[in-house]
Amino acid sequence: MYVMRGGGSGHFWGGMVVGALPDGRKAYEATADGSLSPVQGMDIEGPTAVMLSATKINHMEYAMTTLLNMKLMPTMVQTREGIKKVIALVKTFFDRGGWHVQFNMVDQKILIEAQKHPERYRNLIVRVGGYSAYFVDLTKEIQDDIISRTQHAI
Amino acid sequence: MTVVFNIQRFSIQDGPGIRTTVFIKGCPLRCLWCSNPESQRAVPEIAHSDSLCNKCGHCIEVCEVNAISLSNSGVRINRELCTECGKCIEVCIPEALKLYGNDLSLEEVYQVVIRDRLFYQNSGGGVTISGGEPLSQDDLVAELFKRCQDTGFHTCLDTSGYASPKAFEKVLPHTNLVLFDVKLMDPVAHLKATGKSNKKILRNLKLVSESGVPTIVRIPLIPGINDSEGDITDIASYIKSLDLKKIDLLPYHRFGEGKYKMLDRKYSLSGLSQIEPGRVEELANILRSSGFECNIVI
Repeated sequence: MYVMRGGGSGHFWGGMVVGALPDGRKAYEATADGSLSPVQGMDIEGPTAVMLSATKINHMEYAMTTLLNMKLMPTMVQTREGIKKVIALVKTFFDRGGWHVQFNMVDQKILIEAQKHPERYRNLIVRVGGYSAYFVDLTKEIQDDIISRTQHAI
Repeated sequence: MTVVFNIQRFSIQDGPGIRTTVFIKGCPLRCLWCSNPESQRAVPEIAHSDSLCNKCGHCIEVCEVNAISLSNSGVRINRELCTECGKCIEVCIPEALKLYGNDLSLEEVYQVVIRDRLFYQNSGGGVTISGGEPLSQDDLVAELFKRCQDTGFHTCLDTSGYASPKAFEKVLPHTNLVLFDVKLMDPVAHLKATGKSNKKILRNLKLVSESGVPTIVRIPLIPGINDSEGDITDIASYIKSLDLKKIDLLPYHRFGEGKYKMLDRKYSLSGLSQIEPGRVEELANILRSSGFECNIVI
């Protein structure tokens, strides 16, 4: 992992001066966003692993520039129990010295992107009935169904 | 040999808090609706994901037994020829080919489980063992649970119930919560839907209830198989006779269908529609009105 100082949209500008990287990123493409977030498609162990990695550095040295962006499925915060689990997630991040984390809800736009570019979204997990599946492993029909339902949920 | 097909961190529906769920490969049942076909056989298996395949053909070149062929949508693997040697996976650049199942030791599993200990502490979570049927590996599960409890993690066993009573006796003393699947009360219908009679399962549920370990009965609701009011109240009255109070309903979904394709298997419930949310709520209310604490797992 590398830390790119300057959060916000700095990864677009930063990327414009960085050549190709061994992880498959092409020259001058945007780097990972938010200065701490994993490169798209690389966080295959889920949110707890991302947070543990992101809090390995001393955030005070980069104060006010470290930012971790994470994606959550809307179903995760539909119940009280689910919300409590997200709170525990955030608390652990700060317990370990994290500075700034923000969550984006996975919306229809992201799911449509994932259908078009599965290679960039191989880590995207969708959940139903206590069951987790990689979005890219679902049949097209089920993907379409989730895309239409996600629109209603937001 | 303990083959694990997935260790899922940030698992949030398999017991309280944030958990890590360890999925053990190998299951005695063959439920028609199974959403984890890769969990059924107790050996590692190669799967191919069409959406990631770029049809380069490298896998076909390295396959020594000519088991792989190319179709319009991606590769197909002839399972009678495949020896699961894994050479094709090594040359697959887009990682469309992958291996389900790794032979792991207790120590290797434990080392993954302890990574998220801070998350367990902050959420009251811990470790869940699921499958397949985890009790096919009763020694490993008992030892892992013992170590987890010694460290202060909550332990949860997610079982089909189809195992020897001895396996239960070995694991239960180190278990904080049991998630016990009950599918149908009629033994013949059960045999037809899962490949086995339910006698052993129902006997084991009695054994678990007598052990005093907190238990939640989980019923997967499958349209046309066990979603009638009679099916559910039959199960409920057996559970009540054992003095168990908690039921989870798991509505049928088709998220696993894609994995049948990835393993070149046929999904026998293809085309079955998902169960109406209103219908699930209705059944939950019937259970609630007869005194159960009933939760719909979404």
